[in-house]
Amino acid sequence: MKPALNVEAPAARRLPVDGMAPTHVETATFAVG
Amino acid sequence: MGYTGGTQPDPTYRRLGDHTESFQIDYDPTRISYETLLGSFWKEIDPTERPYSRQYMSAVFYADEAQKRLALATGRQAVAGKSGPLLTPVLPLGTFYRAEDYHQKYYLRRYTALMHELAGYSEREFEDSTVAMWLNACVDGHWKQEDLEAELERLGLSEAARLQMRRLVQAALGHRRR
Repeated sequence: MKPALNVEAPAARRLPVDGMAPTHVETATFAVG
Repeated sequence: MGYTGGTQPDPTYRRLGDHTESFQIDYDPTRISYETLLGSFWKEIDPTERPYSRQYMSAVFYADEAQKRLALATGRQAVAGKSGPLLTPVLPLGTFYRAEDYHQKYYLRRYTALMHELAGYSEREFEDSTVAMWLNACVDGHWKQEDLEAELERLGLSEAARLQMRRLVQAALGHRRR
């Protein structure tokens, strides 16, 4: 069975690190086989 | 996590076509450089090894000419002194298709109590969460003990989650010592 996120929980809480995302990010793409 | 490098539109895990399982890292270039990420990548793989299959090959997918130059330059450095040439493909990035939800933060999803820390996040927020990335790395044994307390402080987890993280890191260290 697919583990699901608890989508019924209150959405207000954001952990501090996720609340401080940088305004500019760059993206790197890799594959590790 | 996702799929790229191929031509099949809208690939899925079961209908991957000619794509390669791959991953994207969004990073803050004021804190870490693309070159440093490349350095970690080349250390993780054997650049002289011929790709095993299209699905599971190692590769760098570059987004622009600057990334291409750095990927090729660091790749050449990675094989310097080795017995073979650079065989890891360095390819232009086309469309990156996100993999299905259950592939995202795959290890973390088994840890119900830690998942509860991210209750209220949508799937997309969870997928892009820096905290989820750290937790996923921890449960797969990639945290170092010296980083543990500072990171726990920074992430703002509950006391129960902190306790579980400490136990997981200790267990991983014990496992490595055996």
